[in-house]
Amino acid sequence: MKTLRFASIIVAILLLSGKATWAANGPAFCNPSGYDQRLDRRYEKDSNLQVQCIAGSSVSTRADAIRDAFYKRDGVTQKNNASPDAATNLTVWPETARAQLENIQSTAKAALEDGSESFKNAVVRFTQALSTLVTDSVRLKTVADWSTPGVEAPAELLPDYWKVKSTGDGPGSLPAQYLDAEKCLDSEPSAHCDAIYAQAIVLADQVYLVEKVISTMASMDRANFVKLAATREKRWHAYLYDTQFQYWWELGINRYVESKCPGFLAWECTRPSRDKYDNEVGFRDAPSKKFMILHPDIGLEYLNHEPAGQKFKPAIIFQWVGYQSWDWDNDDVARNKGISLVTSVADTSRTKRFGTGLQFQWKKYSVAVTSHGGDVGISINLNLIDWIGTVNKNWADDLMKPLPK
Amino acid sequence: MHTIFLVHGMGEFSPGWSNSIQADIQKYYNPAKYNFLKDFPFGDSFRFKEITYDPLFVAYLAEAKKQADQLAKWSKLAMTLPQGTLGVLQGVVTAASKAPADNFLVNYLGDVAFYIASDISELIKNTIVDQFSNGLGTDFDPANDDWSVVGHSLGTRVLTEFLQSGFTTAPSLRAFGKARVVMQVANVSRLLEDLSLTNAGDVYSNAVYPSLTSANGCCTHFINATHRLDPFAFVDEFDPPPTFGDGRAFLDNVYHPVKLAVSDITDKNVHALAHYMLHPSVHTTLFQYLIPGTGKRGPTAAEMKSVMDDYRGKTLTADITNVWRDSLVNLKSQPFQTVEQIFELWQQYGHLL
Repeated sequence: MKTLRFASIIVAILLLSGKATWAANGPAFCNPSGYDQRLDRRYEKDSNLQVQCIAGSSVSTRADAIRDAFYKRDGVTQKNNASPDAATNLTVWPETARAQLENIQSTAKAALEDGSESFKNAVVRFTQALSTLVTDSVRLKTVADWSTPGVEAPAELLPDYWKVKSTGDGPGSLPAQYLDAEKCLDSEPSAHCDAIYAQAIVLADQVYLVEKVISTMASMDRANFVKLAATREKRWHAYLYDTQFQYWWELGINRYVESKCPGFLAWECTRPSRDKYDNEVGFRDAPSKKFMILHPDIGLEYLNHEPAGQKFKPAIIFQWVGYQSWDWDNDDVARNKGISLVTSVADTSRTKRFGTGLQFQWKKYSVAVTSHGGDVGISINLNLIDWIGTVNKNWADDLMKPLPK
Repeated sequence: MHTIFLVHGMGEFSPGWSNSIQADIQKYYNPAKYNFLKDFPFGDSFRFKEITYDPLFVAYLAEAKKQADQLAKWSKLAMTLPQGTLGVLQGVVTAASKAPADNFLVNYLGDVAFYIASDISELIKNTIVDQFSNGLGTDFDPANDDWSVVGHSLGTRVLTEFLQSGFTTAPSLRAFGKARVVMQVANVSRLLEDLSLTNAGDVYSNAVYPSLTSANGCCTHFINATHRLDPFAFVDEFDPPPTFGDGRAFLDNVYHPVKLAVSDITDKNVHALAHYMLHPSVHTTLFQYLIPGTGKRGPTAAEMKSVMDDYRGKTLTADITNVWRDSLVNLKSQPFQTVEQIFELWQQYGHLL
């Protein structure tokens, strides 16, 4: 009876010490009941950025040191969230990454010495993956070696590969695989699994440090991804609004032409990259050319054979088909020029109402020359009248008089 | 920190549009009803960020209206032209001088048409990169932070193209880590692929799929919610085969379809995101895979029975007549093989609302 009571006390102490260990591990954010959940949460911050479960621990201090190593120049640590371009000399980042990985490699050995057979198996796989990464990092001497535009990064350089997680592949999942091998991944809390979990996070912390190196290097890619999109955004906006306005049918036709690049346009058109299932690969760059199709516009036409005082007429300038091209000056449209086959229509008394000819466009100004049954008409658009107004306001006002208000 | 992006569908959306759906989702996230949530208070675990692209359609339509108004003053010049070739001119001027109407056809279906048939979609995708990056914040680090995304209706196609482009370009979205959850509600990505004037690829064989392999797919979990009577979802329904993605989405249990029954109607707008989210199967599936862990913990059978009883009560007291319900059901028997038939079907649905 005494023995039974003594054993019960020992069991209770063991159970309570397990729970005490559990409860002592920080705020509730860090202590979900599942070991898989605790593992996933260990390196997270809460949404208010007030709590991080590893805060104040040696692994947190080392992670900060890794970050600082990338951002320290001449003894001064740049802001953590500074853009790599702004903050650092990127030629030293690959060297920094290699040095940090080698440091982790040497210190991990001591940290991961003891454990069960399944733990040792997980450690072997981690050290092999890390060794491969260190070896590769020696040859990744420049920033472009780590991340080449247009070339997908290998799996071992992806943040997801090393991210500590309870599912998935890569070294990031090794602590979870160890927990699973010990039947603790999805289990209810127990003293046994507490001990297994404590061992799992010894490995997880080393994986996390590697992840910090990888994700810091990947910050270059994050910054470049956003920067390239910003350029494309500006250019697409300019394409839509800083060149001649496209009616919806023109939008559809130009979109079709860009994606199909029919044969006769091969010299001017690059088909978007596609995979074998015809999915577009990457983002499309804004083109520097487009067609005008059935595009009506308004302008002012001069018809010499009309009566005096009525030679300037409001006119519809109808572009049957036209072509416009420009250059990109950074992300602005520059040297925009175009040519179109047009019909002009005006309310005439002596001249034929409509004439056919060509319109020439330079920047946002256009001039059309049309033949109204042999009588020549010359048309200008409203933008050109506005420009004339900057030279001589009275001329512009006179030109605007025939136009409807 | 775990950021959940919300991407709207067709219609009128301006900044702040997601406030009501955010409130709904947080209301459903109730540890008192779902014990598996107890360790993850919403406010500590997640934050929402909305993605808004409708202003880009609005901007184009505003410019189109300006052009139309100018042209309308002079359009009589083009009238009474002789027929034949010049008749075309007259017809085009008439079309161009009409300002875009403010109705269901333009505000809703016009968004779809502009997205799939014009380069406004390219502007949208690149604008989303900016919103995505700002939403994650300058301190974002995939070693410490997660992100997920919920798309609805046209937003499912927008999201598909953003993720496809983002994960196949270089540098790519992989630098941000994969999404933990991609949830597509009333998924029209496959439909709009088939309606596209240009070759729009294959949604079952692109980069937008779930995978446990780091280098594959765009997310760990993919949830697809469809209502059987939603005419935007049942036409050319997104229903992947076993070969979806890298061929392991079903084997690894990372693709999660949720299909709502004909009787699951609590409001006339069965297509609305709010209507979908109200259903316990939809929101519990989302929560199950959002929270940390293997995703194996979800609501118990007893918990689901309790919330479904409550939901069934809502379907019984919904402000819907039998005649209206029959009209909605009958939409499914309409033909929807051609573009014209599909748009006609959607217009009929619009009239029912």
